[in-house]
Amino acid sequence: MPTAEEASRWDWAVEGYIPPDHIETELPFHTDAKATDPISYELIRHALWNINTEHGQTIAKVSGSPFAIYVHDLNPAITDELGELVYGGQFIQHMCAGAPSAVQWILEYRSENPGIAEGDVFLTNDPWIGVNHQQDILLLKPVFVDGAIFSWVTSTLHQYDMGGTTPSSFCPDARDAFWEPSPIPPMKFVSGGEILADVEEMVVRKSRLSELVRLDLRAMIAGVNVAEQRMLELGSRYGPEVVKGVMRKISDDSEQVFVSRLEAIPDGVWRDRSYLEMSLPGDPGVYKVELTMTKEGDRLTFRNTGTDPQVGAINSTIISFKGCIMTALIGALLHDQLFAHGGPMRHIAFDPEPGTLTCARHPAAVTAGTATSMSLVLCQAQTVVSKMVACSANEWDRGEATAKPGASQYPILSQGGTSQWGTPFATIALEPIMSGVGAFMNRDGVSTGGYPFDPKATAPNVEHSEQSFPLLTLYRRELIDSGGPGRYRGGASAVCATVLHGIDEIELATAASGVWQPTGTGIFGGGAALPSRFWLKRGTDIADRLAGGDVPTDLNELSGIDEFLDPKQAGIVQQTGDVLEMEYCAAGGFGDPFERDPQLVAADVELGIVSAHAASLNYGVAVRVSGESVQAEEEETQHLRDQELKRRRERSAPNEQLRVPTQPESRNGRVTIADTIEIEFKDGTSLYRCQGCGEEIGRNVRSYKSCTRFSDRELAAVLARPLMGVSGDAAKVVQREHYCPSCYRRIDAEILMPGDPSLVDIEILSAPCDNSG
Amino acid sequence: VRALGSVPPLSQLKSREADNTAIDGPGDDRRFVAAIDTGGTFTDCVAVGSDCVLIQAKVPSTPADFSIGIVNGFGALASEAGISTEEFLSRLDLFLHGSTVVTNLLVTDQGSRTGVLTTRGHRDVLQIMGGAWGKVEGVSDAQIRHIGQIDKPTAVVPKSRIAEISERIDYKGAVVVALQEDEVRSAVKDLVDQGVESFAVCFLWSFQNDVHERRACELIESLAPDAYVSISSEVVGKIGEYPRFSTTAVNARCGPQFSAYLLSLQQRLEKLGTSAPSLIMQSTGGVVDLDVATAKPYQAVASGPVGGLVGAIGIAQLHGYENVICSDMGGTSFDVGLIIGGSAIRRQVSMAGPHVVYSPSIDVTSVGAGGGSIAWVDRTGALRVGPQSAGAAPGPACYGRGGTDPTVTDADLLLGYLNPEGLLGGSLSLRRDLAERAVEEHVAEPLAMSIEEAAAGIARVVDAQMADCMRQKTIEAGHDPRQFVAFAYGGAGPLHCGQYARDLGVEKVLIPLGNVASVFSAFGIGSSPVRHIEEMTVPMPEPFTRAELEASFAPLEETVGEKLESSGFSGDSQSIERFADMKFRGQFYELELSFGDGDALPEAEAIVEQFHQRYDQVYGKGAGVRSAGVEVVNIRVVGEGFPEGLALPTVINEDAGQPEPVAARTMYWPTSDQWAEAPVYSSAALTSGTSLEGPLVVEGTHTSVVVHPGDRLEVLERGTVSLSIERERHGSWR
Repeated sequence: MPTAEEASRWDWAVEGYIPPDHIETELPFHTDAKATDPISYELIRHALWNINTEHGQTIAKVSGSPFAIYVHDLNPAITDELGELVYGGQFIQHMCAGAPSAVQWILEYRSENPGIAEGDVFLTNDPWIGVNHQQDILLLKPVFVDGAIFSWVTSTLHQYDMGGTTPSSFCPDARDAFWEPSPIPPMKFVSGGEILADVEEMVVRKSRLSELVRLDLRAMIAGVNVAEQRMLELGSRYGPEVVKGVMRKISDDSEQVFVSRLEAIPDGVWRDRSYLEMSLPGDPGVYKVELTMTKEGDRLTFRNTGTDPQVGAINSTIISFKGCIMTALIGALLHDQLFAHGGPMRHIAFDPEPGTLTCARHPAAVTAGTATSMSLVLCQAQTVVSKMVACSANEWDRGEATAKPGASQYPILSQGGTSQWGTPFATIALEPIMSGVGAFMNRDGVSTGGYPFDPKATAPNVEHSEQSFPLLTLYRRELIDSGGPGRYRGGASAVCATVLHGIDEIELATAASGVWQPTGTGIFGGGAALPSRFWLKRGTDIADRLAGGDVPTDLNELSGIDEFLDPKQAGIVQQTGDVLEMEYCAAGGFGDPFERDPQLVAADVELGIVSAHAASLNYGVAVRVSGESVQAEEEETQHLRDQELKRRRERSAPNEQLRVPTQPESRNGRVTIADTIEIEFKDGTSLYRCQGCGEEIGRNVRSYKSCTRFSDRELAAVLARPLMGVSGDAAKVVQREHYCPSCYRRIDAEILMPGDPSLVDIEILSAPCDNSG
Repeated sequence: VRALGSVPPLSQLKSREADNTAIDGPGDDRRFVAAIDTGGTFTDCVAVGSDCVLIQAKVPSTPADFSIGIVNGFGALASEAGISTEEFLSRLDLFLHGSTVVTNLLVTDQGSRTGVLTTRGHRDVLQIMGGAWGKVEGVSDAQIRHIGQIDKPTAVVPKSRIAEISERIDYKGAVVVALQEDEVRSAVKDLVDQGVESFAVCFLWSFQNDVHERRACELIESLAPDAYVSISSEVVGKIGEYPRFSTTAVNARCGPQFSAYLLSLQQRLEKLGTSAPSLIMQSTGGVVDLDVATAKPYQAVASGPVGGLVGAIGIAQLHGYENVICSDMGGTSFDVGLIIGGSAIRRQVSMAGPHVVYSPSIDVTSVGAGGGSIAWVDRTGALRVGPQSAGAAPGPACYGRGGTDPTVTDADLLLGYLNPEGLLGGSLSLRRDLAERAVEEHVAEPLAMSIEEAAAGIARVVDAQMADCMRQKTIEAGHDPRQFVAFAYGGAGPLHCGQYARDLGVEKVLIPLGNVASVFSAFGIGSSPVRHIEEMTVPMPEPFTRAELEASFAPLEETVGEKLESSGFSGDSQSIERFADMKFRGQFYELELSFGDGDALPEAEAIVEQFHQRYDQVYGKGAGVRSAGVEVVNIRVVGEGFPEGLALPTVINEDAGQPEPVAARTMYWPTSDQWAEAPVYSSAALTSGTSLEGPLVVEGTHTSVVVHPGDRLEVLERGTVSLSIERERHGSWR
């Protein structure tokens, strides 16, 4: 967080809200806290966790929204009286990250006018205050005990549609926030337990689906009421001071665990860089998004240095930036602390540059930001944290390191029109939630395994979708060659194709990046996953084919006119006879794929996860197919792998521009970066060795990348299937591979826009304290 | 009709221990009802004779062919009854049976080779598993939070044995693509060539129109007449292809072996001279006839633990407890279920081994912690127990059957809780030297501690694990375990419950039927009702009429009625209840409404009003938007009949005086971390009203009750043992 002084430069309405260190208000707060016995602590701790679970389930059950049911595009939270987060729920984790900020905004700006009283509920959908984009509505209810604010219970829920240029409100053509649903700063929505009818009408009136938004608002009110009730019950059973004591201890304990994990990690800097293509329909541009994490002792600082200025419809705000980072940290470092990140927040600073893609100033367009720039930051944060824990001296923590999941972009496909029931509908395709989980240090990623930060989200059954929407799913299957290659392979994604059923046309829009260039990059030498693709085949004879008893399972089998939709395209009309196929991006690989056990590659071919072509191209494995079983050909595989090594030797060059000598000021000690590089710090020198061959590759350098050799590969040479319909600058993007200069093991594979320098993804500044004693 | 709670007067009941003399000889005309629960390690057997005497036996399970263990079990029961096996079987009136056979097939992936026919374009439903659904269902929240550590299970059928068939039906049940019968024929031939023994037919929307599934089934039957066939519309006619297909595939994978198992068991028993009908325990909480069980093997999952819960409900009722945490610690697993307000918690989606199934089941959670659980030291130097188990073979080291890994039972022996002279009523003597060697080698030496310290450590770790499991179950369901009583049964339950209950913070533990606790799940199976459940999805938006709803219920009621009749229940001896899952249009979650077993349904308007009231009750007034309209989604018919199963016997000696110790042993007492000599009592000497303060051990036929210092043992009517856990010693909560 910027210091109070720095934050004072920030105007909440423009750059986004940064709470001050202290909020001046006359409101009464319940602050008494009392320690309790360990049994009660454990009980109250779980009871608080369960309040969020029950809160979220209540919303999902009352809401009619597929977003709530399947994708769990919601999350409740409990904060203390002043807005410090105690627990968020086990739904989409970043969805609760804006709650503390919104509580503090309300305390700062609404304490006197209109005031905060028992029975009130506040509502906001302002991305500069407490949500990710305007489709998300956040309700906040103060819980009063003895006339004083004891805590807040909040929930955020994604709405079907809140207006704007496009059904479902992901507005790919929005040039600024005025094309989009207008943000509502926190306002009183319920007063003394009664919904304010004028406010409700003002909110639902914005939507194409007013009645469904009204239902969702009721669901959310039911949710905060249940949560408030449970908080009060806890207070009356154990005493409010005891409950408050537990709330404080949860944060303190979590902070302590967080710090102890950081102690085993060397000081250093970790970076990630990805690109977004097309900021608005027709725009040929490619834009850079960078994330830097610096660790100094028990503090982490996150910056977005190098990120391009805000542009078009692909921006997100400081609220999203913070939420993404917290999500990555809790997954890797707080999984055993019920995700309590309030305490750890005391050790985290956010210092992004306003006016950029990932810290946009109002009135930037941000409705499509969650699927683009924000998804990118979410997975970048996971990558820098993964690369950091992969340097830990603690073996268990190292195991948390993982490559990017399929969630690196959510390819939004909006669908709207009139349903088979004669009622209006607007939704987005929810299939991408079935994407893959990234590969780990010792095992493959999980194919169609879902989203790591929304672990219980599931894809709707085809039957449930067809019951609600006027579509017929021709096929839905795991997508071959989609998972990023690696010593351990990234989880595969899926592909599905639909035709209209029972109606004549619907309107489509896309809002995505990662279609013309990959965003699901691998880690520690692992390769990138296949990007997403929208393929509309116009004017096919599908009706005749079906009537004739033929169910096509490949668009190539159908005649018609191919249209590969742009990443941002609005106003597309799908008609009877048009078949839409959607592939979505998968997860990245871990480690050099040419070191993958050939038997595992053969098994993947047998499972239909990898093609024989990709086995050879990406893994250097030749396979022989006989009946049901697939075997790796030993000799031919050796030959392919030798050839690849030869290519790496002959076609690679040193990273001249990174060769700046440095003098480390580290304490003595040893750091291993996953299973790639080992660094020995001794008496003012640093010595870098490859763990693959054990050879020294350099000393007294800034990063291992000062010593590696690199080779730029065209995407066509590394992706198992060609990208279609690519135009603009995205066509220039390459995969830059970095090899050990001695054994030529692949240590990193980055996606790069020519002109950008190699990314220094890991700089180790000092060995960790020796806490082995 | 004799259900639990409506038991014969106490005076009619005698106990085995009260009268140990064999009754064989002229004039012995006793008839028997027997119940057997086949677990992973032991086969638990109980029988009650027409003299109301309960007899019990526990024999090792025989996983290679579980039916052998059952025959052995009958042998053991017969010998307890003092007659020959043939004699016993000839006097058998009814046999109720639960087994782990299906779970075992699924967990070890040893079901039959199954081929699946599915709608073209949708082959991967069983691999995709609804995205994360198949990964997180049945997994604890704590594990789910550690997302890097969880993975999907292996799919129930590999892709290579799933054939796509051109056909398609839409949401209204209209045929969009006609079934291509040639494709079915050729797929069936291919699959048969691949050695497929059973088929699952899984077509989209088949519950709306089953014409394609039925036709495909006919074709399979003509081409592969010996194959076992399950079709999804028949197995479970509910919307949602992933759980429906998964249920159907699980059914087909277990069908042949489960049927063969039941058949071979029946033949073995018939050969031995019984013609008694068999009833098979289901996860629904009831028993069914053999033919019903073989048609839906997926419902036989977890039947043992569910049996325990059914038994526990009866005992809880008897003693006036509404909220109970039931714990069953056997040889391989520790099973936990909850009774809230007198009823067991149910689920519509449950797990069959690692697979998701649509099954209206009683909810039981299992963790790998039992007497046979193996203790080991992990790479960080931490002492761990389970989930690996020494099982029935080779069993704990002290059994002397070749096991060399230290188990919880070995620790219990070394800590003095078990009588070295023997388990299983003395038929199995325990080798202390082997237990010592195993604990020393695998735990004490690596951790540089004494054998005694290592044994105490093993007990502490397993107790804490069990307490965690119970705590998680209760707290995650939103309840405070301290407001519950715990029930402890299974062979190892009474040994460990004092400590896991203390860890959990409960004040009272009941060991149901005392000495019968070790075979209590079998007893529960024996006291279960016959229960048939038929359900299906029938989307029916408002306005619908009573007649339409009646018409939808009719075939289900007919099926349930027929099944009950074929089980011998008709008229007054059966009860049939109707339920509907309803929701507001545009919403996804349903609420279940019950229409009781009256003759006529209420008018449609009254049903809708009932839904509104229930909705307001559950979610608060104003939560629903009534203008959206209401629709029926699923309907369900549950039929019950009460067989002349096991009556609640008394198992204690009502005439015994104040019991005297039969021996004394030095044992380890963890609450004070001390070894001290304590008295040993025989369970045969206990009588209702007995009250003893720990430290002490009560030795029964198949288990021992460990009473820790300061805890109090009291014997309630019918032999149920109550332990009061001293709160001051609640020190081990972490």
